Amino acid sequence: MSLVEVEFAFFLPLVLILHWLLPRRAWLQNGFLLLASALFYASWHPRLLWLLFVTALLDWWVGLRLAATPRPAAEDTTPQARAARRVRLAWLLVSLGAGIGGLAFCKYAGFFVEPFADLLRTLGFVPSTGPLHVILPLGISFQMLQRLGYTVDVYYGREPACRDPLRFALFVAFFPQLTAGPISRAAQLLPQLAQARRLDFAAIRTGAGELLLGFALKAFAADTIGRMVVDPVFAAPGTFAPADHVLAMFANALQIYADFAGYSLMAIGAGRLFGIQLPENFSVPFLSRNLPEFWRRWHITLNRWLFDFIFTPLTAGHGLMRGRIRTGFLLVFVLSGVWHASASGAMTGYVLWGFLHGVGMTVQATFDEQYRGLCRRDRVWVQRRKSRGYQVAAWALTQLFFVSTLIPFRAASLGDAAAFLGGFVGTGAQRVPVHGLTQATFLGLALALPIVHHLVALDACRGLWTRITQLPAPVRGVLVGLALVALTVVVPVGASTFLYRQF
Amino acid sequence: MSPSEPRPGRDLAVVVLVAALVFWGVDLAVRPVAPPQHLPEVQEGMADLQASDPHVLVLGSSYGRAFWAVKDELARLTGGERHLAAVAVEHGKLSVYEWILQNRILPVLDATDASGRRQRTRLQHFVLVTEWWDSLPYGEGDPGANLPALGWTLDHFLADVARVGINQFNRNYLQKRWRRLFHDFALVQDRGFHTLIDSVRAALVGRIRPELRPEAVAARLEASTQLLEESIRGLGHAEQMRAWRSILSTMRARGVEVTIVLYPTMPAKRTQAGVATLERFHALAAGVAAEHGARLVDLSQWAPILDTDFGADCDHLTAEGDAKFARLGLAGPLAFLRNGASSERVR
Repeated sequence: MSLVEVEFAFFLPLVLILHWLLPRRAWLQNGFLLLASALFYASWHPRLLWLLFVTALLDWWVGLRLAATPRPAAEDTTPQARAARRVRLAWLLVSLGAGIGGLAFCKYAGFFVEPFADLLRTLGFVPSTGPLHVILPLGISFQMLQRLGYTVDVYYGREPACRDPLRFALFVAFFPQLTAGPISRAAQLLPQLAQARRLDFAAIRTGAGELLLGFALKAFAADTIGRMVVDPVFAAPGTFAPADHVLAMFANALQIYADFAGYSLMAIGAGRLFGIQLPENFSVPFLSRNLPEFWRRWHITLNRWLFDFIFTPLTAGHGLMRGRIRTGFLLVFVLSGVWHASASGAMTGYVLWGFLHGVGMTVQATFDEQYRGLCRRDRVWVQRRKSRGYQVAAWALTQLFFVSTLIPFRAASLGDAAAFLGGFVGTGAQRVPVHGLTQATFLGLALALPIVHHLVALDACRGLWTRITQLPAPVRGVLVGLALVALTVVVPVGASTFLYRQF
Repeated sequence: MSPSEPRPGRDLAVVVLVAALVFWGVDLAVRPVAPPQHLPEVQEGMADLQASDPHVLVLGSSYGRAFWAVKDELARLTGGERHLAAVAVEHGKLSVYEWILQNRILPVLDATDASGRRQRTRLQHFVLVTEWWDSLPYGEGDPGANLPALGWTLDHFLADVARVGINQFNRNYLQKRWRRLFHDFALVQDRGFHTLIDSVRAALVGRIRPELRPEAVAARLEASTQLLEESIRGLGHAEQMRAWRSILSTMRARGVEVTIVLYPTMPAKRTQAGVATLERFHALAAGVAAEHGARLVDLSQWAPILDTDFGADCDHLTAEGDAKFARLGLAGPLAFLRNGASSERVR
C-alpha cells in the first residue's frame, strides 16, 4: 500500500475514525496503530510481515542489552570497563550487522552474483547460479536507518533504551513513514508514543492540509511531469530535440522533488492526523544558494542521519579521519549514492551522483575557506557576497549543479546519461508529446505547482500566504472545495508510481 | 487561542462542509454536460438474479447489457410471466465469464432454503452472448482487470490480498468500488480521463462534445475496423476455448437449454477482411455449439441492425438500438426465449 493508492483512501479514514474512538490510553492507541501498520505492511507482502517485527524485536533487544551494560566513563581503563566496552560494542555490531547486512543482501546481492559467477567460469568452474530474485522489503532502507539511529544513540548514551516493545515496534513500523520515511529519531518519536494523544482539531486541520498539498504534488505534479516530459525523454535520450532535453533536465528535478516532497508531506500530514509529529523532510530546497544549504533542505532526515552518524563521528572522532572534512564529504555522499542504489537499478549512476555531490561539497568548502580569507583581508568581499548579483549567481550555480547531477541519477545507465548529455547538442528532432490546449495547460500547472510551493516561502509571498490561511472558514472551504474538484479531474488515472519507494 | 480566534473544531467543520458543498455544486453544474453513465454491470445482474428465479439467464460481455432491454420486452410480451436475468461483464473474455459462472452464478443457482430445497428451479435457458474478441488471448500487460473490478466480491479481494498482497491486478477491485461509491458524481466518474474538461470547454463555446464529433467517430470506426480485421490471427486461443467449452458443458449438465448468441457487428465495420474474421469466429462457435448440443444464433451480420442503431463508440447499440434488438429479436431469432426449453435440446 502506498499513500497515493486508492486503498489508502479506504484505509486512512477507517483507521482514523477507529483510532479516535478508542479510549485515550497510550498503550491502546499504540497497539491499534501497530495493528494498522501491520495491515499496511501486509498489504505489500503478507508472508514477509514477520520480517518487520523480527528486525524491530532484535533492535529492541539490543537496546535492552546495551542498557543492561552501563557505559563506562571514557577515562575508566579498568578490566571491567574494557569488558563492558567490548560487550556493548558486540551488541552494537549485532544491530549494525543485522541491519546493514540484511539491507546489503536485499539490495545489492543481485549486483554481485553474476560477476562472481563469471569469475568462477573464468577459473574453470561451472556455477549453478540462476538469476537471483531477492524481494526488496517495503521501505527497508528507511526502517534500517531509523532502527540503527536508535541503537547508536543508545550505545553512546544519548538516548535511554525503550523498554516497551509495543512502543518500539510502532516507532519502527508507524505506517505513514513505513514506506519512505521521513526517518524519525528516537529522541523525537519515542517520547510522543509514550504519551496518550488527544484529539486536536488544529492539528487535524494542518494534517489534512498537508495531505491535500502532498497529494497534489505527488499525484498531479510529479506524475504529470513524469508522464508527459521526463519519462519519454529519458526513455530515448538523444532522440529528442535539444530544447526538450533541457526541459526534461529541469522537469526531472521538479518531478523528483514533487514526488518525494509530496509523499513526505502526505506522511507528515497523516501522522499529524493521529496526533504524531513526524520530522520535516524538505524545506524549499530550490531556494538554496549553496550546496551545504541545499543538503540541509533536501531529504533532511536522511542527510541529518548521514552527518550525525557517519560524518561527525568520523571527522570529529579520534581516528584517521579526524579533521578530514573533505574526505568525509566524499565518503558520506558516495555512501548516500550507494544507499540510493536500488536492487533493480544500475548502481553506478547513483554512486556517480553521490560522488559528484561529494566533490561539489569539497569544492564549496574550499571556496568558502578561500573566500573567508579574502573577507578577512578586505571587507569589500563581505559586501560583494551580500550583493544581489552574487546571490543570484550562487543560487543559479547551486541549482544548475544539482539539476544536472540528477541526469545519472535518473538515467537507466551511464550510457543513457551520456546520450542524454549528448542530446543537448544533438540533432534529435522528436518533440515532447504534449497535444492540445488541455494537455499543455496541465503540464504548465504541474510544473508551476512545485515552483509556487517554493515561492510562497519567500518573504515577499509569505504575507500573502498567511493572509490566505487566515481567511474566514467559509472562504477557505470554497478554496479547498475547488482544489478537490481540480484534483479529482486532473490526477491521472492509475498514477501510482513513486520514485523513492524503490529505495 | 485568542478570544476572537474561532474554535478549531468548528472552523474545521465549516471548511469541510463548505468544501463538500462546493464539490457537489460543481458536480451538479457539469452533470448536464457530461452525465455519469449508469450501465448495468455484474453487480446489477447478480442482484437481479439473487432477487428472482429467472427462466432465462444471460451471461456475456458488455453486449449482455442489450439483454436488459430483452428482459423488459420479454416481461411485456408474457405479461410478466417470464423473467430474464442478464449478467454483463464489461471488457469480455470467455475465461472471465467462466470464472463468474463458477464463482458467482452457480452458488446463487444452487442456493437452498432452510429445508434444503433449491430456491431457484425455473431456469430453462442459458444464453452466452459473445463475439470474436472474447476468444482472443489477453494482450501483453493486460491481466484481465475486468475480473477483479467487476467480478470479485470483497471476499475474493481479501483472499487474494492475503495470498499476494495488494498489486496492480487486485487493486482494480478497490478502484471500481471507489467509483461506485461516488457513482452519481460526474467528477469522480471522469477522474483523470479529462473528457470532462473537453466536454465543458465544448459546451461553453457551443460545440458538440469531442467524442461525438464526426472526425472522432470516424477515427474510432477506423480503429475498431482494423482491430476486427487483424484479429483473425488470434481467434480461438486455447485458454478461451477451454473456458468456452467449460461454460457450455457446465450449463448443459444442469439440464438447461444452452444458446450461443453472437452479437451484431456494426455494418460499417464489415469490410471483406472484417467479414472473414466474423465467419471464422462463426465456424469456431458452430463447432463448440455442435460439441455441446447448444443452439447457435449468429446475429453478427443480422440485417435489421443498421449503423444508425450503434452508439458513438461504434461497438454497442444505443438505448433505442437495444429496444429494437429486443423487439425484433424476440419476434425472430430469439423467440424461443418466450417459451420453455425444448425437450430435444435439453436432453
